[in-house]
Amino acid sequence: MENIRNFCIIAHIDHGKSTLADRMLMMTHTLTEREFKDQVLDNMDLERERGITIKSHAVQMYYDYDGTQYTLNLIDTPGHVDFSYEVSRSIAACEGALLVIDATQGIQAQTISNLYQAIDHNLEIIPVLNKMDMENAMPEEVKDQIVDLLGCEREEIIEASAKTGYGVEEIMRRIVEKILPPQGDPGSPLQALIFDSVFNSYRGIYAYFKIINGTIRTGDLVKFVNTGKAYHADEIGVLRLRLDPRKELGAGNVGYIISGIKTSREVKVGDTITHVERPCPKAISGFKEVKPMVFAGVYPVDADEYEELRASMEKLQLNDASLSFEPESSVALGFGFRCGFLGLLHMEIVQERLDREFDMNVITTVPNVSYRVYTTRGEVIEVHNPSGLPEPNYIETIEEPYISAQIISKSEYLGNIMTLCIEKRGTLKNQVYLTSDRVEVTFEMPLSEIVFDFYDKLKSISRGYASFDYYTSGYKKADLVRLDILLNREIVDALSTLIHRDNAYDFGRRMCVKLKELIPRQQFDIAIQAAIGAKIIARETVKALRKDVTAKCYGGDITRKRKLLEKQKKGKKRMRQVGNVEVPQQAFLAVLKMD
Amino acid sequence: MTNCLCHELILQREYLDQPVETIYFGGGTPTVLEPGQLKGLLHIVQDIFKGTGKQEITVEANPDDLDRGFCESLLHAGFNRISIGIQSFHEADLTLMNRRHTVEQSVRSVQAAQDAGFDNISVDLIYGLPGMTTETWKRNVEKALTLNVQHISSYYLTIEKGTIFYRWKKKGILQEQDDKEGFEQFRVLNRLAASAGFLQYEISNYALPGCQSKHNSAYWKGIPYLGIGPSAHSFNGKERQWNVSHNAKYIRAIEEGTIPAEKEKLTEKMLFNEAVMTGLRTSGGVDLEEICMRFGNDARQYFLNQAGKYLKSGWMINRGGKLILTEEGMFLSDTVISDLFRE
Repeated sequence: MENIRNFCIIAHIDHGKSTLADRMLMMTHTLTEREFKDQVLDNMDLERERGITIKSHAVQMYYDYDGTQYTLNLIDTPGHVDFSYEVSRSIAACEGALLVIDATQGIQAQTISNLYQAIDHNLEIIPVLNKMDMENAMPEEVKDQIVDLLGCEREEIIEASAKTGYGVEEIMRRIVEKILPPQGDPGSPLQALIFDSVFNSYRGIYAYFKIINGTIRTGDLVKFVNTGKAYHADEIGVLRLRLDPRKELGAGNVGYIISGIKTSREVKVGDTITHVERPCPKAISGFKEVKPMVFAGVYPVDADEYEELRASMEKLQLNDASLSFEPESSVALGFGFRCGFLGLLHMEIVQERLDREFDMNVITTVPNVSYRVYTTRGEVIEVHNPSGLPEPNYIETIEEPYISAQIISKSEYLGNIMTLCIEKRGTLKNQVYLTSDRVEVTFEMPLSEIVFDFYDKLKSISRGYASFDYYTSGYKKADLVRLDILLNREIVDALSTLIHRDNAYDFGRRMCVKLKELIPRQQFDIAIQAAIGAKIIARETVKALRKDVTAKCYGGDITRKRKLLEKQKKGKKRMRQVGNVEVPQQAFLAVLKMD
Repeated sequence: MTNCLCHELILQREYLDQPVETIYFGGGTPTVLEPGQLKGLLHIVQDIFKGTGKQEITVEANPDDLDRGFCESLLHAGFNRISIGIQSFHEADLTLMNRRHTVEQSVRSVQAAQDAGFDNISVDLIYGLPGMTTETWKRNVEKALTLNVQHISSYYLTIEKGTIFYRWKKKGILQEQDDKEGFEQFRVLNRLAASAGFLQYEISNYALPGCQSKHNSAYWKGIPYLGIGPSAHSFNGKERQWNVSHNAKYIRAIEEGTIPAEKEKLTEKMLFNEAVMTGLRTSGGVDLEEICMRFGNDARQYFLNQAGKYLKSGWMINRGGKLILTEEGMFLSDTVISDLFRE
């Protein structure tokens, strides 16, 4: 155990986490040059494209230091706010963390919130200033920020470039020197922390764990404390680039277990693995059920594909336990599902995976948060859908979830950011200058306000400089109304939203304007109206189409023209008939794209 | 380049297996060539491809290239139809479109062609231009009709990606004409053309009886054709191919004795879609029996089903088993045609 080092990398998106990980794998010969692929740890297509790690993984490396071989376990952490609980469990499995900061950009909000978690778990922090090879690196300025943040010595900060390899040897040495070996007793009853799981269609779920105490052997009868279920450890091992089976693994080590589990719902991140025969006295603390925060309807574009959509969602859920869904129907969209997501990014990922992995074309409706409704009969109802709101006379009060939002930015944008947050019903809770021109503000604000267009706006008012992180902080009373959208006087239920009364008028007006942009002109005029109850609060008209003609179609035009019209046909197929109006898919998400 | 065109003609001599009935020199400005060169090229074509004897042979020309002498040479060389790119009789429109000719040159060019002896003359006009009023347009059409031409091709402006108008439109410098005004101009054109005895035989083409372009009509009937030169398209009934558009690449390939063309094999579905597209654009419409014969009864049934709502909305009529776009339907033809496509 003395020779094990468990660590993670805390870094903002694009600050070079994956490149650094690849570099380490190469230096330790875990990965050969030939196998070198960009960003090995991000092995889903989608992740690679978005440059973020969605699902955490772990990898074991061997490193020789002064004649002794050390086992280094790099535990990768997801890089987005939606997955903050998974991050916290990954951090809990480590004794140290590399804090990687881009020398051209400085510290970002997400880095800070993950760093605070790491400090809370007493992790040894090794600061690394990455991208030193870039011309626009500003090492002195960023070092000031790091010193201020960590209270470390300037000399402790390692200058590096994951891209060129500069400084990486120094990082490896520092990991061995500074990070404490894991503590734990291999002789105690087994206590292992599950920090991640992955679904494999042949072998079921692989659960990734770190052994806090005790020893696990192949064939052991184990149970997962929080779910209470017992399994045989069919195979255990460590994670190299591929699975590397072992007979036994002892305290301090990181590994995987395969036990014939078919669905990710049985493997909960944060759960404890112990032996059935000789269980540990108590589970590892910090376990919590991850609850979806954002809800939206997901419908097949082609109404006949409802059963296929169900099958696809079930398969998706096998490796994404945080996705929840239940059947729902809509007058406008037919049969579909009400889905619960961890956040907006999670929602986008699910939608894209449905498209890419299952070839399912879906329409996603306006997302909303989960509201708590207290009725006059004394019941408490969780409402995930505007249509689920009880009649007004049955509602005593409604509560909505709040978040604590952390924003870091250059101080020149502070005024804009304050204005935005206050517009979004935020209350300033804290304001700290990290350096003379970098400020961190904390706002308490309703989650529903960030579900819409908060993040894009924040980016644009700060010219991309502001970074943002949040965690949920509880429920508060809210004055909500249901805003309906009507197309040619028919309510489109899929476009209804629950919204704060003060914002309803402005929102309704902007919604109509946006829909006017998105709904193509058709054979007749289309009236777009926003209404609260029977009261119309906004209206726009899409004028009837009178011209859609190409002038020339001679011998050299036929192929191109045919292809263009085939494309036009495809676009039309992606539309939904609502009453007599054809509505394109993106109109159902219009609300997200408003400025 | 002219050498390469001759060379390609020889390379492609086997492409068509039926007699050539029409020849068309155009797309761009063939009149940049000397009359002697045009004559030479035409004779090579006629030597290589045997015709029917009563061929339609068209040349496209810019107004400022045409004087009486030039026209006489063309006629003498064997061209019997001339298509003149007049565009507008309104000076400001020509400036907007960056045309080098003037209104006066346009009028004179028609005169020159007639004096030389051309009795099958077509003029191109464009409408739907930004800022063009229906009144201006009406005067344009009337002016064309007073020139005693036999044929008018009249195009509604399409602002395509990559053009200067597209960039202006994006920047907000240019305001695209509103649909209603555009449709009004289309109607004015139809009315004036009809009262002067012209038949509208395709969305953008009007002719006195017997003066419809045989060449262009052949494209719409799915008759094979051979195109020579950079970006030229050819069709043999089963495949369509198009030459590379880059002049230097074209020349290099031809000099090496190869045809620098990309090919597309037309599937049953593509052929159906093309038949629908070209058919509906013409006044003859789509013949249900012909669809049934070429593509089977299912295709016929599909077409009829899809057409239902347009027959109802008055964009289409059924005239003895032929489905034909109405005036309103023609101006919305892309919507209708794409909807009638198979996928």
